[in-house]
Amino acid sequence: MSILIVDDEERDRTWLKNLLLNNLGKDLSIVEGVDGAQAVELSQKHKPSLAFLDIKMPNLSGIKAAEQILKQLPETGVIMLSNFADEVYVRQLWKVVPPNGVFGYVLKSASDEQVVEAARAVMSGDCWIHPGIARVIQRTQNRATSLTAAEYEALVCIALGMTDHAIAKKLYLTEKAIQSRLKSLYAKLGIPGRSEAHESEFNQRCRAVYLSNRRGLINQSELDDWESKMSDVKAST
Amino acid sequence: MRLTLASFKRQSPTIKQAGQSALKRDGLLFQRLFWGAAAGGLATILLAESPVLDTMEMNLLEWRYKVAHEIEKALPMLAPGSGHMRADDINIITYDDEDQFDLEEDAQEDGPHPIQGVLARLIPIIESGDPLLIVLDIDLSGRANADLVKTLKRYKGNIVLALSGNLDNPEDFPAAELRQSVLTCAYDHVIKESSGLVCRMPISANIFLGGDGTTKAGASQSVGSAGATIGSGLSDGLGPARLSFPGEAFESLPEVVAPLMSSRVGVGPSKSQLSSFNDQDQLPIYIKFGDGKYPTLRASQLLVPETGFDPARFRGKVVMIGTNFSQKADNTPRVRTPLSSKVPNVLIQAEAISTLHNNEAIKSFPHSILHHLLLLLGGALGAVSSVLPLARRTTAFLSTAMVLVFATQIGFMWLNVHFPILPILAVLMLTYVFGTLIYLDTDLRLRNKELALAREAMQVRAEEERQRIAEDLHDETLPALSSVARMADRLAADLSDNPVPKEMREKLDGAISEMRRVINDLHPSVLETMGFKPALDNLLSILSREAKVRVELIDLDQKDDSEYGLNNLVKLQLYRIVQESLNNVQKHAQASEVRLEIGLKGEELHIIIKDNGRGINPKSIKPESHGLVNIRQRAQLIGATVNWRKPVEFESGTEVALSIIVPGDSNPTQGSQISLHV
Repeated sequence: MSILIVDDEERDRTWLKNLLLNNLGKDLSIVEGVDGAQAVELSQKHKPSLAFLDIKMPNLSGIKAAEQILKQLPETGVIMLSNFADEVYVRQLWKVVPPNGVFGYVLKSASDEQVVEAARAVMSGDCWIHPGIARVIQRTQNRATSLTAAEYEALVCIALGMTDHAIAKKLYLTEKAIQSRLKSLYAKLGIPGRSEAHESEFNQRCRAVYLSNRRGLINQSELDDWESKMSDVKAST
Repeated sequence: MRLTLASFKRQSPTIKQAGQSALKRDGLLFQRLFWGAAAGGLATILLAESPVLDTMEMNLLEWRYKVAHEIEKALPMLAPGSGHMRADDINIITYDDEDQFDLEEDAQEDGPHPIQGVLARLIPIIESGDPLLIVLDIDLSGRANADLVKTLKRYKGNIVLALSGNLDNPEDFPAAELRQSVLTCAYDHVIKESSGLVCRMPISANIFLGGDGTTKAGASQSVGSAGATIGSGLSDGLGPARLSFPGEAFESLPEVVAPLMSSRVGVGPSKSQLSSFNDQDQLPIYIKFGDGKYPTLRASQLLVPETGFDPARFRGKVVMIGTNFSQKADNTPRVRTPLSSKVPNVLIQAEAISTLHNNEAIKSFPHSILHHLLLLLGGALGAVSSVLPLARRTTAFLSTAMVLVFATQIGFMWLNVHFPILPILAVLMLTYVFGTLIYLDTDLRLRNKELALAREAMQVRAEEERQRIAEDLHDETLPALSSVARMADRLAADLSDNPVPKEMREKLDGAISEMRRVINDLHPSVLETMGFKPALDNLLSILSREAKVRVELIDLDQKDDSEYGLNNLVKLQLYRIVQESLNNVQKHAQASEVRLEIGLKGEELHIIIKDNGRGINPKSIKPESHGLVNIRQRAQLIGATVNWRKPVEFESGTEVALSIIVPGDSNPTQGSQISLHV
């Protein structure tokens, strides 16, 4: 399996290379490049399954490079590794990536675990967006499909495995209110309701978690964050 | 990263200050010459056609010369012996009672006028009966000296007293008091001409034709025989048909020069004034003069005996005492005085009047070509002189004018040369005025331009500096913080029961996101990496996140912003303007909805930011508030226009309309164009 690393900072390339070699197995073939144009060139040559791209690079920005790479090799899992936390990049990436393609967005300040997690997620076909940004992203996507803060909260709660009852208690809401939030969440994720699909193939909750994971709405790190917050709250109460 | 900076520099309107401004200065010289010539031409038309210069040309000696000629011409026939009177026989004493030709010291306050002192000195001469004739222009600032009047009265036999007023304006008489004094002299006749007063002695009876004993013996002797011959002489010379003398006396000064009048070669009042004279006989007399030079004495020489007052000098001669020849209001036809010093001004005037008198068109234009040329020269000199610094120019002009005036004064006082300095001074003055005006017009404009360029350069440099700092932070500080954060991660893994590494990680995360904010403020890298529209979109999403405002980006033309061909500086400034406007919305507007429209309309890119907030109250805007001023300055820098108004869509709120002319598709070198807008 080959991985493309493109960054104009040698320090970052080395760090990433070592990290990937240590965590994803020694049999990786890692290709390095220093700018966007090279990224396009190298990906055509090596057809990597994973491409780590910096955003701010000479000649061609990471996003533009990703666009060109994905145009020719839509299967490539593109992970942006950047210092910028502006959601505009993620959204742009969203536009560039084909509907069922996968991408990751990792900040350079991420911990080693997060980088590895993102790489694994993308390789296994899930999107992965850095926790802080992911939260921001929900509200600024296309309005029809973007999640509200309340819906996102509900999503996190079911991903953590909480029951309606537990969620209601946690959020000081009635179970009914929670259910209505979940309903709109399912609708936005495109999961058919229980009533309309006479025999639904899926459990709605699990399906919601699966889809949001896939789309990068939630990921392991994000959930870890929430988990620790919840337990903090619990401990303090 | 450095590459981007370099390209930014290349595209930005960098100012090669020295070379460029030198080039502009050269270009300005042509501008100046053009305007100088234009101004000179205009001034020529305006001034040459106006009587201003003519009036200035009128010189104080004119009257004296005129009368001197008159007498010189009239007297030869009367003079004893043969031949013409010599010019030496006529003495002219100049005196000016007006400041204009300040030849004498001013009168003491309340004291007697200096000329009266002069005249007082003359009294003994008059009493001695030596002078053949004294012709006085006695308009002595409206005051007559009692002693003088007495003397004149007593020795009226050899005096012609002329009180000249304005020749055409009957209102402009000598002062009433003086007229009264003259009348009390009991001259036989006071001819009241509409041109003023000419009082005269019965010259013929007493001087020229001999006669009664009011004159002193010497005087009668010296002229007696002449007087005897006069009747026949004149009759012979000019023909009896024209002249019929009463036999014993000329009735008036005009009569003395009647031949001239009747032959109509003399001069008369201007055409416009002709109608005010009913009778041909009442026509004032003007005389055509020939060239001639007379010894001129200054009044001060009479006042200070040591410096040459010699009563003997006046013995047996015509003495003319002239005060200022009053400036005629507009009685002179428009005469352009030639600048040739050889032709006496008087002659020109007489010629011109004569032309009028004969109902001929004035053909003086050829004379005035020099004037025109001089005025053009003034304009050109002004243009050239506008290159000089203001202070040096003023000094140069003032000192030139002073030297000229001084030289003229010297020439007039010592060499008895009257040089027509006034037109030259006028041209000098014009030169100065033109020079200053042209300087103000062109140089200040140039300065403004340079200032604007300098400000632009400063702005560009500031942006470059900010970008540099942002890049340093991005390339050095952020990675360092990130790697420290990862160290904290490792520590956390190793010391799982110690909470400090975890806290460290959180703190560092905070620091990193703060650092990202700072970097973004310093230099919005979104602009470079993503382009203009996504960057604006990003600003909107930040606003919506921070201020809970509904935002909408309306892309009117769906074009990629690279199609606008804006350079980096322009994009950055536009971005900053939008950012500042959105900041204002967040801080002041209390809006719930913000709409940003962007799109190309014709040649212009329009960016419109609308909110439904409180709107701008013009009263609440402090003049020193930075926000709007900043926006304006930035807009000015890139040659964009910015306007604030109320949006149509919302009940209240503010609309910031920004527009900038975008260069054509085929015009990538757009930076320099922008700089021209400023």
